[in-house]
Amino acid sequence: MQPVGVNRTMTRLTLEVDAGLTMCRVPSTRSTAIHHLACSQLADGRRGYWIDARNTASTHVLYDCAPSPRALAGLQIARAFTAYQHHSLVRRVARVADPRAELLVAPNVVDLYRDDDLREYEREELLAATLTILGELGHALECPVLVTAADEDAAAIVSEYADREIECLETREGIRFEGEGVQTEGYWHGSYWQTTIPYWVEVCGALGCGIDPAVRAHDRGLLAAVDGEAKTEATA
Amino acid sequence: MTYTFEFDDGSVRAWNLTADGAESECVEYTPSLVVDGPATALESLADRLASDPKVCALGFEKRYTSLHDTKSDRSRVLRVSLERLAEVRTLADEIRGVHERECEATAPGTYRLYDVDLAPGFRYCLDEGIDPTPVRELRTLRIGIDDRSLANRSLSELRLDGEPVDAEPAELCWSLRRRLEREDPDVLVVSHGELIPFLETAATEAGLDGFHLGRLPGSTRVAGSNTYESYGQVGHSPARYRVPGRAIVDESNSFLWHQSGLEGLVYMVRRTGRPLQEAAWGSIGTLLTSRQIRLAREQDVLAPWNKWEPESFSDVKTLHAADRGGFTFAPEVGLHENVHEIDFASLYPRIICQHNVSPETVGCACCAGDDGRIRERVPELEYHICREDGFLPGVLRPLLDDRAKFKRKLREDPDEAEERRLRAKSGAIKWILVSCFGYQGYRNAKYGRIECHEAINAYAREIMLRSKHLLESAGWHIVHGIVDSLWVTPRGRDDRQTETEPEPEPDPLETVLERISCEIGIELEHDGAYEWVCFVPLQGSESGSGSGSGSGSAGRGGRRSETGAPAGALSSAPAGALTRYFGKRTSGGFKCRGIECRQRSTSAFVADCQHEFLEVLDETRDPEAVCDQLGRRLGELRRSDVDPSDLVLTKRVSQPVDAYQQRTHTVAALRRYDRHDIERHPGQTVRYIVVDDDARNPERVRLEFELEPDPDPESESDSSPTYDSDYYADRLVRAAESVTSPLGWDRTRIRRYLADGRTVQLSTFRRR
Repeated sequence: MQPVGVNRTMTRLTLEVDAGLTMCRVPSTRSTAIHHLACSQLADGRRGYWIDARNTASTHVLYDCAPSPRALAGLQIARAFTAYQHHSLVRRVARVADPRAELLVAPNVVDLYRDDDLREYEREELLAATLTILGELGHALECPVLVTAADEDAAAIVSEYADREIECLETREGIRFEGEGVQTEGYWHGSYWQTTIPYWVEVCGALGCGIDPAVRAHDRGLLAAVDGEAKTEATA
Repeated sequence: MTYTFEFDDGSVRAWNLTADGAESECVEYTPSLVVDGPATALESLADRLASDPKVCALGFEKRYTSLHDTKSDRSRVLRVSLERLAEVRTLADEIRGVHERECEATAPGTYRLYDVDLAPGFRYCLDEGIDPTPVRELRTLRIGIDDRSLANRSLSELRLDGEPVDAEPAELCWSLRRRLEREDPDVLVVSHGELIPFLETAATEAGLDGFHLGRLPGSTRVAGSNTYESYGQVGHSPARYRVPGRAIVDESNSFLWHQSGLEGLVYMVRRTGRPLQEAAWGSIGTLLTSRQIRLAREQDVLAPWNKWEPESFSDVKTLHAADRGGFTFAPEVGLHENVHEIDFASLYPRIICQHNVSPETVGCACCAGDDGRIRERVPELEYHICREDGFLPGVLRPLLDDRAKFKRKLREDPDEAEERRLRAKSGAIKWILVSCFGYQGYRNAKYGRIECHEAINAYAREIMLRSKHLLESAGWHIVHGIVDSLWVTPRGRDDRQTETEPEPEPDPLETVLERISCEIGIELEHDGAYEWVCFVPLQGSESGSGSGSGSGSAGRGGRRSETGAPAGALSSAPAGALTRYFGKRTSGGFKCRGIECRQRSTSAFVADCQHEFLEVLDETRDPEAVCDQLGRRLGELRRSDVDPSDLVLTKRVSQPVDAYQQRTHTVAALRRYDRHDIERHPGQTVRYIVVDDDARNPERVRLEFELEPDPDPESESDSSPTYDSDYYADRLVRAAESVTSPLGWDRTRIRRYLADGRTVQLSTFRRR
């Protein structure tokens, strides 16, 4: 039984990143940005591996993000519940990965390595080994490896191994992606598309710079205080 | 014969029960752990360990490292034997933390360790093939004290076998020693483990030489206290002690003792191979794991230290089908008459046994790709099941058989003592059976596997849907269903029948249950008959709050009308809470689940009042009558007529006091415990009454024992607290709302009704 798509906001994007480790900075561990990114790569049933942590791989979200259920046909998922299992999965992929694989995904890649059941002496090394293998796998298979980091500490660790970074921002319209090789084209609101400036740049050609600095500031919450003041004034 | 053990440098003192006491013998014991890894890595580890003074022997042998391996070949592993039991864990950490790092060309995680974290007595019995089940009735002595006296280091409240001992400390210790000598107990049941060092110190201070709680002098602290998290809940386990020759049961740290007493404990000793004292402090998960480890050892399978084995990769479609959880029919909110609760006895363990679900049978390699060979396929999923008998059914079947046998004997009207024994043992098994399914999905379960968890769920869903179909075709209507239980009521007339036609009779329920049991192969039992049952709406989902007609009987009947909603219910039916309901048994009495009177954070007063509301509802089916009773009780509250001891609340501490972000009641209570020098750890409970809910400091609450006069006259605690009637009034209204909300009355409507000051109905005056 296939799930029916729900009226949630979805983001349309194009992703063209090189092989190697790409760190996606996400606003929270529950963010669905990685689902959008993965699905944008998996169209036409291309092969990919998803090494899951903390039950991020919600099949409902994946079906919602994918253009069609068939697009996910080549995706193989395995869930880790301990850091030991996570590391085993990474090694397993290294051992058995289909050479035609075009994508590896490891959401919340640092998370399980913070659990209490890990001894201090092995915490760092096991994680370092995991990230090293993931990076090398990307180069060996010549495919992108998308990993997510939801907080500063995780980002600091992953960035040491990452070849590049994509920032995923929750905006009022939906998730916006920023970084080398990724473009947000529009947001689907269940009944209409909210297009973005890059989309019109793509369609009509560029006028000036990319995204308006005010839009960027807003998406990072920098304008919240200003918004608040404006509201106060309006009600006063 | 051996039933309790002490471990000392390289030897074990084992105690054998004799007809009139116990005798000890000291034996040499060499514990060992096992390491798996690539051959060269194991060779270099063996070289390095050869010079380790902790290690007394090294050897390679062939063992299974997982249940899966039993389908193929044994692995060549390194067995490392140690001089001392206490050093197993140290060496394990060194292998992973030092040797693995220093060996050339070994990546992190190269060495996989086995047989590391086993309780000492359990390990010894496992290695030596000892059955630690006691061979005769055990003699127990209960030693109890309350929290406050223990904190104050006062022996005045000490109780022996429940009887207070009114004596000075010296005399008290003397009489305790006399009892120990005279009765020679095999088991000390203590209210707190801390009593052991406390009593020994008190005896020394009182000048009593040679006082000891064990059969020989000396006591040992074998584990410190710690706080842990399990299934999202914080727990606290107190320090553990050992005394020579006697098993200790710490009542503050024994689930099994509370659930099923000594009989249940002894049964679990037999089934798990854990000696009594270790069975007493073991959680249900620990006991289940022990039984698994023991049976795995019989098959030559090792017990992994950490959970390295991950699930297999699967496609999105399979994962989507598999990750669906248990089964539920949304309850029809409202009052339903003539309801029967039916459930499958031990559904999950029976599925495991009937369908051979086990970590090594689900998707086994030996049958893969050979449809002629496999036993069956899991419904909806692509997993197949191996034809060879699985491990997990072997773990559970004897427990299921025992439980069925005990229940059968219970029906034969045994004498009181036998009945107690049977109930205790049956209760102990029940908990293991209840947890065996969830445990398969638990992240650290040694032999757990998520695919088993999913397969069991898939079978359960199929069984419930099949049962639903069979019930409906026999003229029954399902008003609610969850996991393994269904609530059914006669379907009555359908839309095409007029009121003048007689209501169709459904097939007799017993016949239908027999038919279903036979078809499914698992017994579907009649659990209870109810005059009526109410399913409570989810909080915030009550439709038409405060509106609607004044009809008190809204929702009655619960049959579906033409619109598909329960007859008489408000037009857009609110969503029902899955586990909040109450009903009146035809045999008398109420069954309540999930409502206030079942929650331990509810005070006795509010719980009693809620029971009254249920009685009023039963007599009148009228929410107004319930509100009238509520109004009466609110009046008592406001006039301060309620005994404060009936307003005590119990809350579980979830974190240390300084970690709380908000100033909750618990924080206020913890600060007050602190004033009395009583330690409260996360996982323990606090008991208090609310005296000023607006205060944000310790003055917000009083502890239960602060209501009583302090035994210490020099203490400055205030002794005349009142209570915050507004706070308790709010609790009481909520309790009434749970009872009336199935009939469409939420708290807004209750308050409006009470504010109207209408003439109170006669029914209110009939009640006290």
